Amino acid sequence: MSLGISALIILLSPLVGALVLIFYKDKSEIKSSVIANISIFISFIFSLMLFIIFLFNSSTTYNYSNLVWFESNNLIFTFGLLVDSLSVIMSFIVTFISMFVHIYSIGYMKNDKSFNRFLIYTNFFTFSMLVIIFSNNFLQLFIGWELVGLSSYLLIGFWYKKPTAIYANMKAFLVNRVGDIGLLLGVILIFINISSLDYMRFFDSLPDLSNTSISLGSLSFDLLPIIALLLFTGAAAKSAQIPLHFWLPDSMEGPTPISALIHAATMVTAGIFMVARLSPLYDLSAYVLDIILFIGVLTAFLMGLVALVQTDIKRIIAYSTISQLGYMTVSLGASYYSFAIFHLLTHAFFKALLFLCAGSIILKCHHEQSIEKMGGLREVMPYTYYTYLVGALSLVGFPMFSGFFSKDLIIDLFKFHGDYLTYTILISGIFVTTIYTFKIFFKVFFGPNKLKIKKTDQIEHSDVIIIPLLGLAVPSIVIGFALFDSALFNDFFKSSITDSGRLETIYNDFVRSSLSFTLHSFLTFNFLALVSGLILSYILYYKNYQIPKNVTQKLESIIIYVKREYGFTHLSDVFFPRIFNNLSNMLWKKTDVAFLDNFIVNGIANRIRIFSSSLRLIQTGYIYHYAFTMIIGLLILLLFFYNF
Amino acid sequence: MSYLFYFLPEIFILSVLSFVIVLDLFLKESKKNISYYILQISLIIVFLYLFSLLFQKNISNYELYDISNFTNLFKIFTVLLSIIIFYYSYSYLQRFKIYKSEYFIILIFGLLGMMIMVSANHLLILYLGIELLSLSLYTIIAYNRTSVRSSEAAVKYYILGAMSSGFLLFGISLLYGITGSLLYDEISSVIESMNFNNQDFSTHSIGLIFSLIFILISIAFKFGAAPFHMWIPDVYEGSLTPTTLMISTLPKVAIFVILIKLTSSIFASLEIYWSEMILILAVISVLIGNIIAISQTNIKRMLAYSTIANVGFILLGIYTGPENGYEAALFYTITYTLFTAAVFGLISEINIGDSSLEKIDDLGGLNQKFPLMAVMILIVMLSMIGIPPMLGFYAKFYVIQSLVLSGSTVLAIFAVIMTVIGSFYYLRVIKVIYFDDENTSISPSLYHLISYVFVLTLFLLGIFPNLLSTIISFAIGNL
Repeated sequence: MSLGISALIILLSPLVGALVLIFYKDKSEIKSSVIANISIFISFIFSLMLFIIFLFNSSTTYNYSNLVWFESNNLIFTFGLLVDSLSVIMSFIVTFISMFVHIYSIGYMKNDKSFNRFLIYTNFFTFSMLVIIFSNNFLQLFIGWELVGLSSYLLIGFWYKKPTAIYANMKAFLVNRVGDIGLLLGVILIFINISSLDYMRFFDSLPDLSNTSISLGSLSFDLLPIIALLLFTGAAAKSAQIPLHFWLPDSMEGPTPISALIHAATMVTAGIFMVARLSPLYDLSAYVLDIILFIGVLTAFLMGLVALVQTDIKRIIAYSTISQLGYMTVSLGASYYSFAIFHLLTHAFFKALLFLCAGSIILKCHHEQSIEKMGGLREVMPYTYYTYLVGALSLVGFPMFSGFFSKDLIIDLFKFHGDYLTYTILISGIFVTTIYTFKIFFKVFFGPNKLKIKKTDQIEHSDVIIIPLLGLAVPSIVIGFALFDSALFNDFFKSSITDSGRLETIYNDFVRSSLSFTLHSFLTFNFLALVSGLILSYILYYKNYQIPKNVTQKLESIIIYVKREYGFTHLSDVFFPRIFNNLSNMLWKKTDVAFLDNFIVNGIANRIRIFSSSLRLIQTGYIYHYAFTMIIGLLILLLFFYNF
Repeated sequence: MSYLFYFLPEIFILSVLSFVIVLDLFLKESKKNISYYILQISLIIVFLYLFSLLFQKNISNYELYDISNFTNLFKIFTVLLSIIIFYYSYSYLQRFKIYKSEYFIILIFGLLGMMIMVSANHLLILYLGIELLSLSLYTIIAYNRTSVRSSEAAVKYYILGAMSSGFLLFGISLLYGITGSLLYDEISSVIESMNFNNQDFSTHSIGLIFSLIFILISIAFKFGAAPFHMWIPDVYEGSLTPTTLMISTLPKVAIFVILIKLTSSIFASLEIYWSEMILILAVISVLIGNIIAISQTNIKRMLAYSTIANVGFILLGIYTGPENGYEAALFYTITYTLFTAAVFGLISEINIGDSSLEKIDDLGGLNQKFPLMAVMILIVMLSMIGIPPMLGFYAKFYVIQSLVLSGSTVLAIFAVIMTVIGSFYYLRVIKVIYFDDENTSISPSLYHLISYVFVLTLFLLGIFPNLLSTIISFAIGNL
């Protein structure tokens, strides 16, 4: 029971914070941020407590589903809480990052007129994300799903006077809508078949459902793969997987703390989380897993390449996020869901760290975001320099850093299983990742100080910006190592994810222990790719080695092609809008204005208005008319029933 | 004497009333509000007592007087709502400096009438209750006697009300002539024994149907179902806003309870007849209410027609019969009552210059000046339209669902279309509040914490509609 109450406090505290901020009259920045921070801090403390409890005893699950929301005849919709190792670790991640981002925002959003609104949105986002995490049924999942979509929309367009921000939030919202339709269809299919939306009921009836099929005309499909695929559409849109990825880079129009919180660490991982949560379903839908694997590999590699040719610091990290989400998807596709969650965990910390570093750099450079124009910041901002280095090493998977344990585990999976094609692609992914990560590093922190930014006496920014950087740097170094043996391979996920058997095999036959895994890694291709990427990056961006002219000319066309995301940019920004514009123009002029508006809507409305104004004349105000109407009514009723 | 126990709440209220009437004579003008406080406190005591009765297991029924959990729940609801209505009335009367203790004394008489009529198991007691209620309504409508509209409305309602009382009495006497009794149980067993195939039935059938029609029409009049609705717009417009608040809420619930009590006891075996009559009344009410409301400019008249439309919806619920329909109809009635109370409460707290709010256009730009007030009205209006997270959605949903389940899909479609038409006039209020130019003379009274708490509670009820529907299933189960 105490688990349930703690989960409830974790869930409601950010909401209460948001509500207090809405109705709070005194709009002073300090008081607002204190309220927001306290509410998140309470959530964090309880999450931490639950996390520690689960580290010692991960088999306890608590499933409360008695709060009936709405029932009518045979339809019963309930709200509930599911507290198990998966939801606990997710709530730990979300509240941890959210807490530091809230602290960071105090410095970053200082002097913004809508500071209060910003805090309301972020608090509301945290609440929505926790709704997804603790839900024990598809309805609640869907509600949370939509709420995070909404808060993401609001936050991307936070500076709503900027046209690019409005464009970006529209794009994000529309792309997510596509995914939402998939998710909703999946949920409806489940509801039709088991007339319940409860996870546990669904898992229990999986054996029966695996023999069910649905027919569309003369075609007949197995039910479960269809459901799995539809749900994955939703996950792919939220987690920015090809071909629904193109909203994420644009979402960088939002404030940088938001990019760190929502578009790197938490919301975009909702899709990964959902698939892991529904692992029993995905275990039974083999060919869907192949599709997921394929999409993941494509995303991981191709989006890494795109990151290579970008110049905007936030966009590089955004593409890197997509690519890393690709790694998680790969792991899901290989049905090692726990590895995906583990990578999600480490990624959340180091990617949030990288974004906050980027934010710190942008703030120092007076909102200049192009890395080509930056340089020499190592002297000026030492804290950002070192924390960025930590984040970068973790991202590229340098041995002993957090990212290493999670990412190399995913890559080595394919060596273990002998899928060398995937293995090769993923290793080249490491190479690419290293180049672009250190491209930022060398270009921003070394070389001439192009923007002429002076070193100030006080440390680079105020404490509220430094503390989150340090606070996130620590888990970026240690958390992978700390949880590797003691949680991931210690049946932490056994009660919530179905891959514990596979995990045991790979641990006994391949990994053995974190230390041997680390030592072994120095002799693998992963490390080779990393080092060669590092060297190449060093040559190109530190030594500024000029590539021969004729090579660049040949490369030019490829770079342009990659910059356009292999045509996806064209598809999303030109092709689809044009089709929809034409279509909606036609519908608007031909159908809507000509037929619906003039004939149906205005026509009926006019008739009703005329009818209404003539009918109101019945109400003459004369009492004998009133009495007369009553008598007429009586007579009609009497005559009507006289025949009986 | 032990049967006096059954009447305890009523006796208590009556004695407090008698005491206050006398006491009031001796109070100084400045201290008259003591009467209000005494009455308010006595209502709270009655509420607590009734609430404690809920948990008593074995309450036997006195044959004339029904104190089952169903009527008990009704009384709890009525008393609770009365407390809120009293609060609004008091603040309104104080604001316009027209406070008189008689206002509340008359209100309590009305309340007493309602408590008696729902508990009645005997047609004459029912009649007495209805008359007690009606007489206090006539008086309270004329409270603002310097206003022509007010007196005119009272006279109209009084004359038409007298007619409807005549109908009721005529129906009752026919019933007495045929069955020889006035007790619900006896009448219903006599009617039940007249089998449809039996010769006996056909000779009496005309009489029975006539009595059914007369009683039903009288109830329809009190309920405000078309074509017996003519008094409603004039009365709503003519009386003070808190009076309208009272008239549009409590009597509706009481009459609704009477209707389902009569149809499920006396007229249970005549279901094929009354269901059709109710259907006719329902369709006309929904049609007339929704369509005429569109062209109203006075907010109280607009709400009057919306009341007629809502009554139509309730009747549609009753039409589908006791299994699903009663629950849906009761849910609808409670929802309608709560939200009407909220909207009239909010309206009564808005001043336009020195007078109270009358025209819809006077609300222009309320949002710029009083955003919180605007949000409250927004919530209430959205609920009345039936927008999903609000309680109003579930009310409409249940009624339409019961129509579909009983096989009348055409009626369900009709109900949906009418809901769409009806949304127009609610949305217009929202449009005026949010998008029109600011009306500078708006000045809500300063203190409306109670309104906020009330609307917020309704909003939360909408998020967890199951809370209300559980209570309602319980109530209908104890009918």
